[in-house]
Amino acid sequence: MSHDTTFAAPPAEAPARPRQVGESPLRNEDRRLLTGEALFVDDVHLDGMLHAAFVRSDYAHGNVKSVDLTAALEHPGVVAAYAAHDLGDYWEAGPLLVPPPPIDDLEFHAATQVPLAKGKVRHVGEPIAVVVARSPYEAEDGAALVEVDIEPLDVVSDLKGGLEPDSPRIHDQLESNLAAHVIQRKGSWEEVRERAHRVIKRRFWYDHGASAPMENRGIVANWDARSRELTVWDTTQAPIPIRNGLAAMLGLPQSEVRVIAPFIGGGFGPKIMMFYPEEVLLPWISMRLGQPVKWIEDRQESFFATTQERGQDHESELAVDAEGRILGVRDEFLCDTGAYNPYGLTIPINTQCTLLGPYRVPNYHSEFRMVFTNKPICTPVRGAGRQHGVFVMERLLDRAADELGIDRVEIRRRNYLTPEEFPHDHEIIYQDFKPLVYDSGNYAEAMDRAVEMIDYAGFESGAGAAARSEGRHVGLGIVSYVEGTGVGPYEGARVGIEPGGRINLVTGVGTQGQGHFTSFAQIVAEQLGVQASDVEVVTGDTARFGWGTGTFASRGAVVAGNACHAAALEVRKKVLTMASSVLGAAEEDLDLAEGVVRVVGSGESISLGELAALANPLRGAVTPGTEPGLEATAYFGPERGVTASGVHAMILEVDPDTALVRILRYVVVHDCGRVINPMIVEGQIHGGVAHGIGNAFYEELVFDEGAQLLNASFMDYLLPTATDVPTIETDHVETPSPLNPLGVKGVGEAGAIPVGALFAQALENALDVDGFEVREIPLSPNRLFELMRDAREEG
Amino acid sequence: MLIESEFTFDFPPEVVYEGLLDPDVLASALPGTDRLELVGEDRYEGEMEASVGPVTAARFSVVVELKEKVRPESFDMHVDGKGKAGFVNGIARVAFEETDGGTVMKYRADLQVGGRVASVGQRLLESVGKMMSKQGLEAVNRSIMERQAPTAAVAGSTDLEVSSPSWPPATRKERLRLFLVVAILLALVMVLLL
Repeated sequence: MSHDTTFAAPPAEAPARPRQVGESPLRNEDRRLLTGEALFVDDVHLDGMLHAAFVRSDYAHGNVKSVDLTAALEHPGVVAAYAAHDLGDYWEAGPLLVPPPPIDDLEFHAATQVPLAKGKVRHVGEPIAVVVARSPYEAEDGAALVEVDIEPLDVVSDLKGGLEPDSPRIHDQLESNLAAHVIQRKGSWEEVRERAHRVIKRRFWYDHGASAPMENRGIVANWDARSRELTVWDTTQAPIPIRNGLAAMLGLPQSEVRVIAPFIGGGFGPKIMMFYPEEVLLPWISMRLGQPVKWIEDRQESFFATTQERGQDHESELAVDAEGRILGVRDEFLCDTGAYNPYGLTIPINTQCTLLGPYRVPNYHSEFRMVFTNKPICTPVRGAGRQHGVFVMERLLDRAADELGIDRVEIRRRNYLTPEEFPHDHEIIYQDFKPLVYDSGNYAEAMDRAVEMIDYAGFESGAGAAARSEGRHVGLGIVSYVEGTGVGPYEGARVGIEPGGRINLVTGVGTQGQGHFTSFAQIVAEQLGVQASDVEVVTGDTARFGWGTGTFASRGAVVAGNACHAAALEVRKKVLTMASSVLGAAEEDLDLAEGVVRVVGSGESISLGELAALANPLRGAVTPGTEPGLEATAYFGPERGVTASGVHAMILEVDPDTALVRILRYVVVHDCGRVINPMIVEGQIHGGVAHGIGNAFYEELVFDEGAQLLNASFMDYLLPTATDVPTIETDHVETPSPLNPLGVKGVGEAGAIPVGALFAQALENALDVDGFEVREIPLSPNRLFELMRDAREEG
Repeated sequence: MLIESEFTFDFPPEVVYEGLLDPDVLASALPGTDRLELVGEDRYEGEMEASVGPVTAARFSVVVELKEKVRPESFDMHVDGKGKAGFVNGIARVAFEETDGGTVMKYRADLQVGGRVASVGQRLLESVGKMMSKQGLEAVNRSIMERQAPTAAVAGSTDLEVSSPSWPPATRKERLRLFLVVAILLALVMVLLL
């Protein structure tokens, strides 16, 4: 592996400092996680704690005629039960989390989720009532006794049907089920289509799935009237916005609300969604009853009550010249937002923008319609619409390569943006409301390395030919992608040194397993001349740090990481200024290493702990205009997002009789700018690839025409297991981002993004059946068998 | 969801049509049905309990209405079942045709199933439902055979208690009860067939 090949080394005259960034120390958080000492929401046990259970709709669409809580309230152990009308003025539709970006002529109709269904239910699993009892068992028994009378209504379950004039309407206040209609254009597709050497046209279906975290959602709310503090433990990816919102809803000052996002067993996007009905109700119930209340989502509930991401129906065209150079792309798609659209247009805008990939696309017409359906709410899941766009572009390029007789790697190379073309303006608007301008990249180099690692040149004549001569169906796939990461608005961090020498780092972002306790510690350790293990990190507690937005869009390392860096630099400055004064030496002559400031060339030194004690004296005078302590708070807000990229390659074997697949090799060459911790980056890529493999071949949310989810359990919703995920060989290209001091880009979603496109290409290569084309994801052994059969019958 | 299937009885349509409505026959062939009431003309309410894979001992209250009755050729059954484990509703068309001294009963149900029965029971509904409906209808067939030849022992039917020697049922009340039980049987079949 190669790290730090392009990042400029520190100037030669600067004192050498032990490197932290770029190393892979053991993770600071793992001792707590592996020994069972980490706090998760369900570990919170409080005196007098009550438990909530929700009554949810069995119907995808219906009028709520009545909700009778009588029998539930009479059940032993039940303390309270509430339906929508019990909430009074507190009942309010949730906020529009992401308003639409400034795109000309954009049409957008908001309809956000409600705490408890009133009048109408719009998807299966929508909460109707909540029952509170002394134990979770009594709460569930009580919930089973709530009598709900629902008059079923006709259901909107498919995208095209939902837009028909005679379709049932989900939101009575809107004219139709159209949630949004957006067109983004660059150049002139119409003009370029006329003069193209060839135009490839295809229809694609790309579905996504459940986030399936190890830990479902959970909330504990505790209102302490005497200390006037509402404490909420929440599996959220956004504790600070939750604190701000709850304070506003409950009429409390923000200082009286503390939201703690402790250790969380995976977020993957749906835990950034807010406000979930349970998040709104638990604090209200705790204040009403004066007792703590807990709700822990069960797995089946999670399939309905936690947001998910679903399908898009694309009609796409690619215009190329005789050499395979892209002249233009036209893409029109329908996308599903489910019963409500609190997350605005993030998913389809990501699709629209990521489709362009690492390529030079002079003309683009992209148009989408977002449709309300009677299915659970869609919000981003790892990848967040990006894989849909990558699938379309990579599939079109594969077809163009076939039709023009150009090698599939070569056609990509001919269209890559070159390093000299950055920054590259795609002339459309991205999800962060800023123009889609790529900051930096080196796509050909990533492809070259992947080609070498997977032995692309030798495969057809060597390993591939050998396997085929034995009658085996082995294929190679290789695809490219980009990922817009690290979007604003900002994050903050506070770094401080205690008199004992302990170094504290606090940041507002929550953590869901990304290794923040280590990566952020490395950034600070590098500036303060200590080890990452010397830095105590706190994340996701609004009482410790109250400014920030959250963990999403592969932005933790970029935005919070650079805030940590900025705060550490400030503290370093304070340390050196003070040491200079105490030691009587010029700052240039000081070296900070191993927690000690030394005067270069003399034996004099002072430790960070001693300096911290001197910085916070009990008596005496301080210099006017200075601050006590060795502490600093800093913020970082990027000008716009940064663009990571990569190439995935794999060798896949298919059994044509059972349609089962086996991945023989999997290679990822990834560029997330400067790598803070290679082990953590690789871990993120591994997890992402596992998610991508699930999306490509195992996971599918199967709904019937009544919008009933038919596989809401892990018996039927298949996740890839350890045996389905191969050893992943990784390499890094490091093209630092010019948009932040650390030069980093995000990596959280990268692994998941191109896997569907990769599977499709590898399967076609393995089977080599005329007419066999993969135009849809997810596949499954069943579906793959059907596609093979259809191709053979047609052939 | 559309369900189409058929079952062949060893008796002519008149006998099957009436026989299907004999509550004593059907109650013994139907697991889990424990309350049935006639609440109006051709309208019945009942309760049943069913287990489908992970959905165990789920109780359903069922309302069944018979419409478009053409004796002994066909009837439509409107089913509305609800329980904590979900719901089933829709219409089933049931038709009887004579064939070689027997009867082919064809049923075609257009149903909507929702809730836990649909979301976690889906994979097992079809196989469990097919097996149970086949067993149930075979038991009905054997019972009719016993009624037709009350003195002849029928192998495999010892678990069926024959309580009424008269056939066909003499009173209107008895016939109504028969309808009711048929309806419940078919409702269960439909639930289980999904």
